[in-house]
Amino acid sequence: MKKEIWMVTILVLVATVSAGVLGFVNVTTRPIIKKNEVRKLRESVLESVNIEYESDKLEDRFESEIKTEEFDGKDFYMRYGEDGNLTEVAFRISGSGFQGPITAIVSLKPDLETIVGLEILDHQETPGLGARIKEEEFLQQFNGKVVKPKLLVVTDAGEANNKVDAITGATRTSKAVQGIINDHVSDVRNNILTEKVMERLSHE
Amino acid sequence: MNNTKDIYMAGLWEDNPVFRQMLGLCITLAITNKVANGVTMGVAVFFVLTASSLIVSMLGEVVPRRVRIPVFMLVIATFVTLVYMFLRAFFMPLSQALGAYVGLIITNCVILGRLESFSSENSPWDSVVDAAGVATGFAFALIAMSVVRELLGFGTLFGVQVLGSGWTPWVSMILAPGGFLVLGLLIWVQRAISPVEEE
Repeated sequence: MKKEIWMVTILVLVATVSAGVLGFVNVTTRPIIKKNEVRKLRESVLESVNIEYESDKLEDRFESEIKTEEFDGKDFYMRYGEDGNLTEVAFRISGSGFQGPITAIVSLKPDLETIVGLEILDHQETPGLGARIKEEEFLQQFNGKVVKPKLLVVTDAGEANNKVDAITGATRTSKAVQGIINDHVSDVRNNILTEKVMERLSHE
Repeated sequence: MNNTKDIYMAGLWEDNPVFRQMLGLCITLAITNKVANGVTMGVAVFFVLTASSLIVSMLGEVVPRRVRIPVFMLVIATFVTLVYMFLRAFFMPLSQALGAYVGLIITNCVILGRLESFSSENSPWDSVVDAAGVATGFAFALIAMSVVRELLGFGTLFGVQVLGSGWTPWVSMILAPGGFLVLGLLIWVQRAISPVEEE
């Protein structure tokens, strides 16, 4: 019996020390981790609407150029032109990729159909193949394309205004990006930023 | 085996965890397609292994035999979680590249194996030396593999273009088959340099 009590005591002791150390480190690193994530998000939003920024002035630039509003528990990043008219709306989209979740920022013109920019926030796709969705060459293609009736990521896009070239050897990742964009954009258009909401937002 | 240098060199070369003991292969195959990943993982495993070796050897006889594995797992998991939070706070891009694999260090049998077979029965100093040797051996294996794979698969080293633009990347080197191929070749090389004595 004595042995059993000793085993339990040792386990409890080790677990307590472990929990204490981890708790302390978690509390100290969490604000930094959170800051990293916010920074990454803001960089991507600015890049998706083609705003140049110096990395040490990111915060100022973001505050002065982008207006954040929440609808339906989702953040929307609005940019207004000099005349006070809405020029772009950006928001976060996410879904399953080939190996794990893909999250991205898409920015659209106020028609909620034309893409202005696409930036990948996070993914776990195969290096050298699916991971190429992060490359400029792939992302640039989306600029000016329309999500109507559906955006298509296909083998031979040609000149069509709703098609972009897929990545060779990464068909599943390419199709995942296509699905994520279509699902989220149509959901936002039909259920969140409805015509009534857009009317209110269209002018600053 | 009391000589410090002997203990260190055994872990590094003669009993290399990857090329000789065939341990920790999941991580080895999965993350060695870029040198930066190999280096980060090597450093992370070095820290976790030496730190948990020290703790386990100091606990020594205090831990009853029957609960030693849970205690080892707790110690390892604590250090791995520390590494995970540290990377996320200060090396965000690397932590993203390694994805779930940092967490998987917990189940890396290189670490549990050393704690079970060495640290729990030896002095703290010998245990730390042994852990450092094995961890260096593990890092050496990861870096050797990732140099070959990144060079052939991307034409780069640490992301810097090394082979000219005329180089056609071998895509299979980045994927799983390349991992197995390079692992097999490097085991062959290691055994050619120090042959295994058949019993």
